[in-house]
Amino acid sequence: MLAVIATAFFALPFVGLLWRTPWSDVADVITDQSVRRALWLSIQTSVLATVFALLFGVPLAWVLARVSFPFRSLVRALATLSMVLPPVVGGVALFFSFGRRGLFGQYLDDWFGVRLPFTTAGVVVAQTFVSMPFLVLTVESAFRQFDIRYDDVARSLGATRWHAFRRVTLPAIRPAIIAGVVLAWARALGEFGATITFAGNLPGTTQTMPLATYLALETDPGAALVLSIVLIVVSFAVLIGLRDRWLGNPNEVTRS
Amino acid sequence: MRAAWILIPLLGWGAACSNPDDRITLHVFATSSLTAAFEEMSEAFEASNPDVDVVLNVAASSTLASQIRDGAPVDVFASADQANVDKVIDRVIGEPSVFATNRLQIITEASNPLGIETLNDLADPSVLFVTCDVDVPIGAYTAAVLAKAGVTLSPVSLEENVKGIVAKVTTGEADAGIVFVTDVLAAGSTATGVDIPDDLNVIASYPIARLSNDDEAEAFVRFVTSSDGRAILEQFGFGEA
Amino acid sequence: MTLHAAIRVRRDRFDFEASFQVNDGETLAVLGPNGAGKSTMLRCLLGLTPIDVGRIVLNDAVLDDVDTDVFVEPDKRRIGAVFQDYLLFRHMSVVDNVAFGLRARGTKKHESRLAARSLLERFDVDHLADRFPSQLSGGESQRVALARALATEPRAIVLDEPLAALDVTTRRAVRDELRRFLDGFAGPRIIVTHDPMDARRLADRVLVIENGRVSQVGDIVDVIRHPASPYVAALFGDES
Repeated sequence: MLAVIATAFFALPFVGLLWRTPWSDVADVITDQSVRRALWLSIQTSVLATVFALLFGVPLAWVLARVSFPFRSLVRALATLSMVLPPVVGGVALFFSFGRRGLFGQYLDDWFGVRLPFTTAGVVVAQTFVSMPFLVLTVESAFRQFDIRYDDVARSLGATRWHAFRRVTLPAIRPAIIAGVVLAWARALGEFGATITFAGNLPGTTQTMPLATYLALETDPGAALVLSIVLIVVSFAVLIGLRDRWLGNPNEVTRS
Repeated sequence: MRAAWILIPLLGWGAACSNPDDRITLHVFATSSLTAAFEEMSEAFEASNPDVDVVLNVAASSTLASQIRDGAPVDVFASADQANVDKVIDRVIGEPSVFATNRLQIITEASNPLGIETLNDLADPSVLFVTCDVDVPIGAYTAAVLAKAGVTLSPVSLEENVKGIVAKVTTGEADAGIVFVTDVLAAGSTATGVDIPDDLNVIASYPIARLSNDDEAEAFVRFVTSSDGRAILEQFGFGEA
Repeated sequence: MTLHAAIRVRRDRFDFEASFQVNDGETLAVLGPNGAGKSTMLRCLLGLTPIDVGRIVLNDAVLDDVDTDVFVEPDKRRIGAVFQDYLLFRHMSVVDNVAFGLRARGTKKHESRLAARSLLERFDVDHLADRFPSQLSGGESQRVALARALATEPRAIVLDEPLAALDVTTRRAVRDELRRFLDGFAGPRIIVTHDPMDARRLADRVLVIENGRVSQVGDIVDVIRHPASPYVAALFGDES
């Protein structure tokens, strides 16, 4: 019974959304240039953010899981802090540290001429900031559960640390990495609060789909509905495409 | 005896609970540029109407109009332009009346480090200019002023409301924006205003509308348009209606 | 060729010390109660645990010498190992498991797989080449684990409880197989076991560890006849 209520809780909002969508206007809205720009921007930035989350998150997860060092809990808490913070707070933090006059931002500007706010790079930074913790936590947990004896075996067979990591450890935790990537990407795609606070709002440069949807809600609710549908369809397609096949147990792969 | 232990707290609780009919809540939606002025306005109104609680909701006029359209409970709506009142005209009772005016001004960081003096200076590619989208009153007014001056600008961001522009500029994130003179005044020492010539400037007319039949709503509107109300508005830099 | 080891490991309250030697063609069984230090010893030999005092020499190659600060990484030691529970890589097929060591040293995939298949043939499990570890029985897993350890042509071999994961009925047959395999391996061999039967059937010499110290070492027959401690006596109790 409770499970039914839970399912309804998740399903009903979408039913409501589909019900109110002005289906006759869908074609107009979708082909609108600003919508296409927002969608393309969202896809580009969220994918890039996910790549960064992967590049930096996996090593971090490994260190947190395998290396003991002072203040490890503190580091872990910091790395995942942005996950529990309201996104706007994250945006404010980024603003005052990496903004033009920010603690670090001012050096970025003075020394390298790099400016993050009002740029697409700023959007990627905001998205990476909020999505990386999801990947770090998922992957760290997998590293912890991974039997380190397999590593010993690999080394005794002549594999260097790196070879063992690449050929034995990573493949073994592949489901966790995929889950982490999906979670991080989804979070990056939906990121709003930190983006609008830190990166700003400009169509084509920093106006991602969530921002466009939010703003459309004021001027053109019908458009907001259609934008929402588009976001849902894109996300759904990725999630369905993954299926249990990828998230399942690598042992269960059979060959003919 | 046991019953008394239950009854006494219950009665006490019942007595402590005020009768909801004794206090009246007045929902006032005011545009962002009226933030400080209407905070004082509400306090003054509550002072002379002790049984009224004014709940002030401040946001861009376009955001407020949207909320009103979605059925938000509201008694009074003070907008920065007529366009946003028109969006909700079917909920308006009686006629909206203009209660204040405002003019536009360029806003820069304190002491104007880039030495901006005219609208043309804003067109310099190195100047980071921010504004609002055109359905926000300041966005529309800014577009009108720039059109009059024949200046084309590429803003780096479209903020949600006029206070957003102020925030970006006073924190040094953006170099300049165009806001209301009242906003520059409200920003105090954190900002510097640069005047826009009268022939290029626009006069923003602020309409106030009643959206409920409550007597208190009418009383509030009357207060805003009274000499006391006007004195408060003048204090914050608003012009006469 | 010989494997010399004189090791001492101190960790918190754990203190382990042992000196021994294993020659070519010789099988040494290491016995002892749980926690005595058998696994630690193996890990030291393999380079997975650093020693605090002493040295390990295989033939003329110094693998570990605390005094001269020499330490050869596990991947360079050329000591083959079969671990408890075999630990076959679950995400790889049998042939890829066996080929792993070769690939790790740079041999191309195709050649590694060929070499792996011929090795699997020697162990009579080439028909399992494309299966995955989860599909193998205990006895089959052991053979694959052996093949995997041999693929890199190690100079010595160590086995940690190689029969513990098997049920009683399989154990006897596999033990005999293991005996044949060990006889065919030219270098020094070490088996860690808790089962005195394994020692009897598989080893030439025995080393008994109790509480982190060697309590007895010698020819299997001598040890059985003249146990040096109550534990050893109890171990081989029904044998003499």
